[in-house]
Amino acid sequence: MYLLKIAARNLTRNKLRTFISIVAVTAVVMIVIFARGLMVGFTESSFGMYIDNNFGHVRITDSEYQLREPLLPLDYTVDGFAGDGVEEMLAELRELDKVEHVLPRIRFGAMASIDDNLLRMIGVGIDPAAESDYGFLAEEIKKGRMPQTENEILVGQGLLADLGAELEDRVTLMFVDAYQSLQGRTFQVVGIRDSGVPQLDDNFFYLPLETAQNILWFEDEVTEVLVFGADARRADALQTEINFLLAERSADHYSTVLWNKADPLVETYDEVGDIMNLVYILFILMGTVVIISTLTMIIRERTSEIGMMAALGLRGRDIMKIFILEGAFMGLIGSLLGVVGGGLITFYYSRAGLHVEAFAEALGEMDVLIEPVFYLAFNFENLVVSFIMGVVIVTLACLYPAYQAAKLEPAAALHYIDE
Amino acid sequence: MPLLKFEAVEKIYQQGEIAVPALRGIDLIVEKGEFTTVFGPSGSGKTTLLNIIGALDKPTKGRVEILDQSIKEMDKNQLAMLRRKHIGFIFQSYNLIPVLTAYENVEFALRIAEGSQGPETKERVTNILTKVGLGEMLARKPNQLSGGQKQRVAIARALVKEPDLVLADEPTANLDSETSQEVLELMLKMNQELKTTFIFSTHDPLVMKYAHRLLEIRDGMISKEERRG
Repeated sequence: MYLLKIAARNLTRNKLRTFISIVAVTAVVMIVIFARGLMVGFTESSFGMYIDNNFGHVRITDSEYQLREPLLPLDYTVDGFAGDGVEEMLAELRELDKVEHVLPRIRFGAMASIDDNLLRMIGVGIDPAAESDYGFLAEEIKKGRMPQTENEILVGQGLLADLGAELEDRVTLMFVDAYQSLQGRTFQVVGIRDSGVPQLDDNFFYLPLETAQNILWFEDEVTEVLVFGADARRADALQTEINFLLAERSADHYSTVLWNKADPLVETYDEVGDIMNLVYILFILMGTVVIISTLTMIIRERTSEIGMMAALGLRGRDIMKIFILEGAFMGLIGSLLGVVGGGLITFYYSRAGLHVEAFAEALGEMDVLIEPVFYLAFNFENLVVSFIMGVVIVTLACLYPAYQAAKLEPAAALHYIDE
Repeated sequence: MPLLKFEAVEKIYQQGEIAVPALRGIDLIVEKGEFTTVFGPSGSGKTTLLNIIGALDKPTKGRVEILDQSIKEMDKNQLAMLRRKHIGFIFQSYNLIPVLTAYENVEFALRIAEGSQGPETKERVTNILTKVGLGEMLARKPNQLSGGQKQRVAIARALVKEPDLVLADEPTANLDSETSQEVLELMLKMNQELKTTFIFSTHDPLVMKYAHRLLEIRDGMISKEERRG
């Protein structure tokens, strides 16, 4: 307790030096909190887009479909456990313990002829009721409404502009049906989607699942089933449950894929997230350089005081404690201030959002889904983890200079003259 | 049983490949309650002798017994425990902890010696500071005290744990003669009251005037010894 008191009071001996050391820790902890909020916000936003638009938490497709997915084939569909229709399969999926929502979809290629150009796009057949209850689509309708009946479509605003159409206009689109026949159909635009992501808004339109089935000559079948559980991070348990059902019903021609294993980019984000934890630690270590040099200076200045304490009978480990505690106090105060500062900044950007339009556009060209305004993740865990990292790493960094102090020979330390 | 016993003690410092002898065969016995001064020119070995007496250093050769314990076989922690319980130090530059008050500096030494705070700690610290004339200055920090007052705090710090031996290295070097005399009178009083053994290392003739026993060191050996009534 007494050592604690001395260590705490020692902070006041050279206030400027203590201030600089604390500011260094504050700065790195603030940056780590901001960077973690940024990284988590970025990945969560990006993951959310992949989950909502492409994979759900677990996606069920025909195994062959998965292999040929870039071609959007219509030959490999999900048509029930034994070809007896997808509706019954959806009903059974909804009965599973870990399943919260099930969204059947049909994805197909389409095109339109605009002047002399062929405009390519992707049509997605959706269950309007289910998609209105859950997911992003209903929230992203900027004007109009969800398509409900035959010939109604919801179009991304970029695609709508490319089509030279407006809300309530009629547009004719071409597509190849399940029998490889080229078909044409005129739809009425009843809604405009503005997701903020050019890659989505410029390429996708949505129509009722039933319409998609009709025009493509599908029966009770879809190209994919997106299944959602309660927590994306626990989707592996959901996948196990689904796989068990599929195996039980001998539907081994279907594949399930986890959202974070479905796209190499998402997998990369996940791995980058792990690597970033190391980067944060390294970053705090950089900040501790200031503390280490401060302590080294302090120990040099107080060498004869260390000798005096040894002469009084203080053991090496107690001398070590004084300096570790002194460094730990700086780490504690710096980390606390860092949490407050970093927390406030992160909180602000978690509400106001970070505008990264140019960055999003550049990534969009590389087929990476990213929102032009994304929101930093503000959560208690980030603050606590960063605080603990700050305190622990700074304290550990004090071990070496403190050890140097402890191993000083008392006689030599007492008569030490700082040159 | 003598308080301190040196038998053919040698201390050699190795500076690169050169061996520098600091003490060359010292034989010395110090009894409890002595008020002894070690003097001699710079480089004669006074500081080395005091370091070994204070269990801050070990001899290269020979045997040193403090309170019947040979220090040569002790490890660092055992030496620290010996200093903690039995030896007090007074330094030329006081070496007080600047962030602690006079009271806390003395209390710190007692806490090191006796572990956790006992009910009588406050009384003992206050008493010893009152004895050295600082009863009204308990809450002052070292930078609020004069040189003489700081040395009084250092004396109180050395004495509060009631050690068997107090080593004072040039205790008057930074004090004027009037203050030096006051400080020496105080130490003599403590020596008489508490029967604490004092060993000084000094150049100061005033300190030598007060000593009951004078040891002159030259070239690492006791060249002259004088006892006074």
